[in-house]
Amino acid sequence: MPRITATDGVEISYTTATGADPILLVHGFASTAELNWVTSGWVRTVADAGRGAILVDLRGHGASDAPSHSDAYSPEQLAADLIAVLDNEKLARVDVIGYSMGAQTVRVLAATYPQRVHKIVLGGIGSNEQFATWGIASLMAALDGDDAAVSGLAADLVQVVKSGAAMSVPTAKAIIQGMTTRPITAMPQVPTLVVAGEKDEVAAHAPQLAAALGAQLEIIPRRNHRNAVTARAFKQAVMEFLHSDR
Amino acid sequence: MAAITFNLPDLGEGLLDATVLEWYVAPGDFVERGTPMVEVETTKSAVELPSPQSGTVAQLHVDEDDNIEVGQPLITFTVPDDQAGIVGTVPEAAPAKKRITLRPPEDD
Repeated sequence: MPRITATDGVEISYTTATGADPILLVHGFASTAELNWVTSGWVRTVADAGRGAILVDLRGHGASDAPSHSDAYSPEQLAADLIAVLDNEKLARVDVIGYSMGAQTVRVLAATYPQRVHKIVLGGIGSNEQFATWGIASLMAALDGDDAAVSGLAADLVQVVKSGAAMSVPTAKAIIQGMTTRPITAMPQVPTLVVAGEKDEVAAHAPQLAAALGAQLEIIPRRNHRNAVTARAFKQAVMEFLHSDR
Repeated sequence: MAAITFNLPDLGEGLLDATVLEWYVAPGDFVERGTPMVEVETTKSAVELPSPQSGTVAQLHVDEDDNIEVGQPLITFTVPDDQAGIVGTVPEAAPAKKRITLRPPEDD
């Protein structure tokens, strides 16, 4: 598993899957490259299309370093980490797929470094930033043990963190605060596909995001934030989008 | 012909059950080993399970949207008798990109 050192000294781990024209895959909060893209079947889907993959563990996640101060987790810093990985792989320009917090990161990546991306897919997000929508104070209280502070998917995510399966509580707090220090207003100008499960509360405003970005929109019937990831309709829509006009 | 049944594997993280989201195969289909077979969801994540076996699907033991516990029957294949000896043996190590390997029930 290659490790690179980011601009602020934090070490980032990633793996690669061989194939032509690798696609950069960026996972969501409290997930990992493995959970979001490997066991979900995405690497298999990408390989079936002859494409390779770059699978990054975002800082704070998986095998990457997990600083515990919120300054380390701005979307701009996470995007810079992805550029450092592309540099290390000597990839000038790639297609990128992001899910949830990974999609917010890709949104910033594509707006900040348009010369490094071809097409982007933003999965499981809307025009809002969901940590802020849930409420930072509520999330912090829930992470401190107030189980009534949040409900639904937010409570599930807090439970994943508190189970120790994803990251420490201080790391989770730092990520949530770092990602929400400023509103995410980046407007990528590259070809963009927005994908969301029909029942995804995080991506309820996906149509508004797609409209704001002039992006294509794909809604996956019957799926929610967690189980849209594996959906064949998601994979097919993405591969068609990436391979159109090539 | 012989029947081989595969149970829901341990999906890790101490998860004891899963919900079937969508079957990609149906009784009567011939399925190649390694082909995506079913999507299941746990409280942690959704997972796509590749077929552990080349063969003809004889029976799906769980309906979509229904729950299944780890170790309960998931799918039964019909295979020619000359391949039936595979029962009781662990499938070959999966390629690195496939981290979930289904095993015949005798192994658990």
